[in-house]
Amino acid sequence: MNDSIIETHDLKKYFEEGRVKALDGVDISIRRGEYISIIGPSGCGKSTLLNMISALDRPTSGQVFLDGADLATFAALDEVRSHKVGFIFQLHNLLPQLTALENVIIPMHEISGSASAKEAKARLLLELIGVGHLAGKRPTRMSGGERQRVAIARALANDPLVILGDEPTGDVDTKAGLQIMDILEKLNREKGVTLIVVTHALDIAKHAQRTIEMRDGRIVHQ
Amino acid sequence: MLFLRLIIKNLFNRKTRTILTIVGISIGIATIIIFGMVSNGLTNSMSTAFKPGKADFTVAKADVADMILSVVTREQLQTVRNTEGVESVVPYVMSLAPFTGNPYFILGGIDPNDLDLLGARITDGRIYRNGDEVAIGRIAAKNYNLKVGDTIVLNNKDYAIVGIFESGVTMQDGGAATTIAETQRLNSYTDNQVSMAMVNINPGLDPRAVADAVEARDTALLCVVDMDDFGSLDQGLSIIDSVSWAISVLAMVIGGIGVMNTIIMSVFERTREIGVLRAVGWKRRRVMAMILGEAIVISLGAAIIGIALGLGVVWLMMQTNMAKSWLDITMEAEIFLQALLVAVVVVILGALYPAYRASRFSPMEALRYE
Repeated sequence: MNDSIIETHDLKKYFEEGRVKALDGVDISIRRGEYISIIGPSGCGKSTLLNMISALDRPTSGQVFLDGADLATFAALDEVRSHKVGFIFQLHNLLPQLTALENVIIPMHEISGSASAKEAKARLLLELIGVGHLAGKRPTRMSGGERQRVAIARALANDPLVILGDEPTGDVDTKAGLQIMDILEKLNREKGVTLIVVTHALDIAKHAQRTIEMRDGRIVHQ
Repeated sequence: MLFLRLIIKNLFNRKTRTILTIVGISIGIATIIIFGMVSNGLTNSMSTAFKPGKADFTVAKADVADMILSVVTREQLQTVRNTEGVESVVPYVMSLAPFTGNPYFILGGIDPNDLDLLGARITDGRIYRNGDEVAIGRIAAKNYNLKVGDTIVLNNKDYAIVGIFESGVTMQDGGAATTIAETQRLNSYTDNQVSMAMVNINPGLDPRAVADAVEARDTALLCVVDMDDFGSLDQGLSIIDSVSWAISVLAMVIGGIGVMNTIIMSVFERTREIGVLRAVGWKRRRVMAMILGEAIVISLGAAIIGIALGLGVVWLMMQTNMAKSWLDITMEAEIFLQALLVAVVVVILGALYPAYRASRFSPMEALRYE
């Protein structure tokens, strides 16, 4: 596996009994600490690839290695999601009944530690992302950009090796989008977290160290 | 703690539904409490009534549907007296005389000299001397605000209250006592007939063995040594017991279905949320624990409200003179534990399927759910 944190070999994901080929033989390799953007037209398989890498879904065939474990056959995918990856959705997906602080704590339920230590860490993460003042607020009382920042703090909760963003700026205005990308790039730069961002926006993609371009379920450029 | 906070917030996020579910279950729990306490109150009351004072058991007519229908003759009582081990037999006539809204006011007929044997003592005034006089029980005196010197009208006849007695038996203390002859007249008995008799046996003997000997000598007689025997004499209590169980079970089954419906609705409405929880690494068993935890909180809330509601209804019931005269209500932990256990078990059973369903959601499918 050398320095790669993610590798896929002939990765395929078919839907509707093979009629829809979302991924059709994808081979990629991503190094630790790399910042990658994945671009391509709608329906080209970007999000599906991200779902495979983040252990949200299993491939139809092929292999997907994350930190040495083949997720195609690995039994405890929830362990991978909990400890190795942090996922940022296009829509923040925060739980509306919980405060920002409680939302950040949610992934920590699966790790050991005292409640006070978890709370302290969640506060720290919110401060780090610049939304410490929102700790006691519910998502319904935040702007789109604020919600997405809280979602980033949640993705960082369990110190993941990889942060995956599926159009993380897709639901916020340009200014908030740039701020969010600044935060993610800073995390990549200063903490060495591997960052993979799926985006339509070329001005966001160009900030990445490397861009993977997809079309019809295949990699056309990397 | 964080997990519990999440569970409570989930429930409070849908306040109306949660409150309605809790109310539904709490009615079931209140039903168990009310019927349980009434049934136990009757049992307590009856069990002391059939072994009052020094009596070891009561002898009555076998094969009657209700104890009020029991009639035994003095010849039969002589047979009892002649049974080996029997020390004394105290004849008793049970007459019902409606009084101030209580159709089951008991006017007991007993020889004044036998009161001691039944553990009754005059606390005020004196014992009755004829059929125009009564002694009333301590509970009746308190319930109806009666005192020595007052007159009480029973079956259209005025009786002078000459004394107040206390026996420790709720049913007797909630009624009155007079001569055997007067109650025989009221029941249209001949002077050869009484309702039943309390039997005292020689020290050291087994009441059951003596009772068996009595029943062997006269198969038309039934000896009530314990509450199981009472079931043969009076099916009312066992009917009340069965009906109370049936209603309680029905109430809880309805409650359980209500919980299942609520949790299923809640799970489906929160499919996407559950998908998020799975996506951030929650294990299936944690999702299941969350849903079951919500159910347990519902059941505990329902138990608190249900117990309070049940106690409230029983308290209201005990304000009526009839209940005061007939029910020996005690706070028995068993009933409350039973109600709590039933609530938790029913709610968990109701929540098990939706919790399992929720835990089986694939994160991807759940996240796509609209």
